[in-house]
Amino acid sequence: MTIPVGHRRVWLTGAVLYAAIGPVCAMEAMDDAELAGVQGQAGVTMEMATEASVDRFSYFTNGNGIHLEDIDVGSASDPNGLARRDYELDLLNDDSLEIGVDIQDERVSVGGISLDDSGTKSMGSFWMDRNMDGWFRITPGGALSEEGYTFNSDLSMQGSRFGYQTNGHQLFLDEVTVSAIASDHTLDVNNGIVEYAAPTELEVGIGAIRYAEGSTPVRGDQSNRASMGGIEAYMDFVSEFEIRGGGGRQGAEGLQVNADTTLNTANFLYKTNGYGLVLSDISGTSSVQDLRIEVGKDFTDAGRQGLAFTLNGSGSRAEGNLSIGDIKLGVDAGSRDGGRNIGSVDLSWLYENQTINGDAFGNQTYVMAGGHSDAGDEGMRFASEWSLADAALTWTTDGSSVLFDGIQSWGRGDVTVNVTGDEKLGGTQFYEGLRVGFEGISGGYRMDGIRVGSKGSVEGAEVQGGVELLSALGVYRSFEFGNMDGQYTLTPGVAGGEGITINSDLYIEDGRIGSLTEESGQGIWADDLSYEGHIRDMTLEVVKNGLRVMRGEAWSTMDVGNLRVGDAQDGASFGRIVWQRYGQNSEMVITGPEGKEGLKLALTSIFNQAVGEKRNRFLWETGRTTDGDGNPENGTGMQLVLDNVHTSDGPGAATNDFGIKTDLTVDVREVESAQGLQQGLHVNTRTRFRELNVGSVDLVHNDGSGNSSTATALQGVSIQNMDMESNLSATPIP
Amino acid sequence: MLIPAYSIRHSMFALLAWFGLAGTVTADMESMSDQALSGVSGQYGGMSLSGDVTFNESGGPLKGEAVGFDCNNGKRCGARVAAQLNQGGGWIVLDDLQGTFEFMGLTLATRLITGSDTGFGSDAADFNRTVIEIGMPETASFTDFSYTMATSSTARPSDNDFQQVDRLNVEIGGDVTLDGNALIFPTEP
Repeated sequence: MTIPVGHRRVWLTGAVLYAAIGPVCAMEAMDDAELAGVQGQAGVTMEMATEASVDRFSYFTNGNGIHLEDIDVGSASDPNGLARRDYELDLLNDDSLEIGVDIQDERVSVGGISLDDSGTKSMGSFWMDRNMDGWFRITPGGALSEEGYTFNSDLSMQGSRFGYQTNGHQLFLDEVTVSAIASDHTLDVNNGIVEYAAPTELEVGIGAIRYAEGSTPVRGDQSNRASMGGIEAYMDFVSEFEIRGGGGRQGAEGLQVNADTTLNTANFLYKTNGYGLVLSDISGTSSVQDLRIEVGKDFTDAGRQGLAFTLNGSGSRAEGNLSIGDIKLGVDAGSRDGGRNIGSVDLSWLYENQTINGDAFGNQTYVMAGGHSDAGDEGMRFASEWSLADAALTWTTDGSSVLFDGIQSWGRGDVTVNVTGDEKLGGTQFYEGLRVGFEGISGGYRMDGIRVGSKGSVEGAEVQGGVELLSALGVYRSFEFGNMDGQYTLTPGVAGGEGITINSDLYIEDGRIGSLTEESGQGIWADDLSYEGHIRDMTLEVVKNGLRVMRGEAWSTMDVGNLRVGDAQDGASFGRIVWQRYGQNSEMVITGPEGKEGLKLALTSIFNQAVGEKRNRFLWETGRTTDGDGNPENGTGMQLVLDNVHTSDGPGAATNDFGIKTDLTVDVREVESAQGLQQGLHVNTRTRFRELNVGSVDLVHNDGSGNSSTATALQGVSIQNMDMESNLSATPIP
Repeated sequence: MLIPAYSIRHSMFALLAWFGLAGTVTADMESMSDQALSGVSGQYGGMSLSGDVTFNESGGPLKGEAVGFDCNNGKRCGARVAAQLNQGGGWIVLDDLQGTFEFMGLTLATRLITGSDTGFGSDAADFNRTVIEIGMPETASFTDFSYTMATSSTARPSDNDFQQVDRLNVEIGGDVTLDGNALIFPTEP
């Protein structure tokens, strides 16, 4: 594909495109008084009432097509009404064309998006309701020559709405406001390459995120519906794009994009019920080289068609850095005052091709029609592969930093997106809201370790262990898995207001968690790991000074086939460990310590008495017989079982609300160590419970042919009145 | 990442606890020479831990609830662990656990011991495997650390017909010198 050099054609293209979506328009004559008001008396005012539709709009590369169907423009409020558009065209003294825009009550919708091989499937429908005004100015002459163009604009949208619908369920961003100021955007065509530079100031507000039933997009006031909360974002950035018709990865047609962005400043707020999570003082850079966009067949044997974004050529890479100067939880959402300070975070990343365990990974996503197969024909599927070759994360509290260094991540599989309702279809239980599904994903991450030091000099500090102290936060030195399936469904609203309710199911097979890993590959490994976890009615909301997560009901089983020391695959094994968990109404509040920077978690973990197979049970098995391949067979060895572990509110109490309360505070500070004062990762843990009981401690002997005998070693264990506090600081081994 | 944090934390705690109790696990201690120590320097994955652990500094969550835990003079203030060995039988109790243990420079790392290692007598060749090496903190101290070993008729001091015989009262204070390393490894390769 080649880009036409004749820049005047841009005008023509614009006019044709406009004609395509606005063929029904009413024009009114201007009276003399109105004309006199137009600057330079050279202006033209166009007032239009629009209602338009396009049945199908297609884009093809190399014989593969993507199709937008049922594109409609009309009134947002009235199904039979017209949108109103007023344009005021003005030629300025410097030959600029200035267009004043006023769009009221307009809905633009796309009924479906599909690929050639989608059959009856579609990505679902999208729509935008908008009221927009402002101006747009085109000036001849670009950054490189007089042949280019310069654009300036100041456009704002109010009371707008963006929605996504699949299979009769819709999720929409409500009460959206956007202010976009473009300052001297330049467009040039240089040797067939389109060069576009875009210094932009963008402010976005999303008042609410709501759910509704029905395949027709909602109209009118929807403020009585529950909301996930609101978002406010501001950014000032300069993006520079180079777009060439260099062909895709799969043929001569396709776009090749290079993009560099400098984020001068930005901030972000997520709020529920008047409290907010704020990221401020954000800046960074991003560079993307050799991204290709085309319609093509994906990387699986099935060769499924998708809109392909591929960053996996030999010169492809995406690198950048992001600095978040200030992270605060639980501020007043209006004034942004108060709250707790978590500290600052600096990120750097490099995405490029890499080989992990002999397997080559790149970065690519194919967007396809059809989500979860039981949810219906409409939905989106992202067949993806990722390859994060090198990343670093630095977290700084009060001038001291911990650097998580040498982070790599890789994987591939399908992510599906649907909007679903509370129903069971084809054997799959769905929940109301936005469902993100995982299908057949394999992947993992690992890191070298941490470096701890003063801010600015932490890169020179020695690599050490200590990530192990953060396993409570779900952070490990390494974690990889052969297969992951599951879903998270996010529902707007929590009891009592704004927030997100989450239902999830997760299945992991062939996993491995590493700790105390060495460069040589030796370490301690939770190997041959499988995990099954279910969460019901977990709520997430921002509260005063923190983020609160409440889990209605959760049950899980983690089965570590071999706890190994040494080599990850064939190091000697301590045996098999199985940990079943079951609890209701467990709570986690994420906040910061008072008066300084750091991360503090207040956890209340309720261990419920066994209900059927849902229980708290710990099993350790050794001495298993092996199969023909030398792999130990579970259930053939000697087992030590702690069964029906549960909390209680104490002697005589029938209630179980106190649970195990753990306050965990993490920060980086100067600590006393065997080497004197030095910077260390510091973790303070305080655990309290009134009563923790073990129903029984059993020894189970399996004879290897399916027969087992159980001897109860302890009839019961009861631990009461525990209040244990520990301070641990990790520093390098001297 | 995607595994709920609580579950894994508890698993890890349980694993650590079992390191201490495991029957098929063997621990050997030996002093490291300066040379051996210098070989550890610059290790990539281990860590040195310093800190303290305190039990029931100001009583526990059942303090003052008329269920047997009040912090008046000589009364039970610490944590209580009770285990029943036989059905319908009595309970063996670690009672009134409280106090502080501090340490500095406990190291945790994995280490490959090969036949060429010195410092194990002539046993190194028998090892020839990776071990978890816990380097003992050179200095450790106990402050007001105390507990009682007892036998009791019931699990809880508030249960009906509660009777208890204290067998052993232990109070520990002062510094402890710990030297050498504990090596933990599975006995089946």
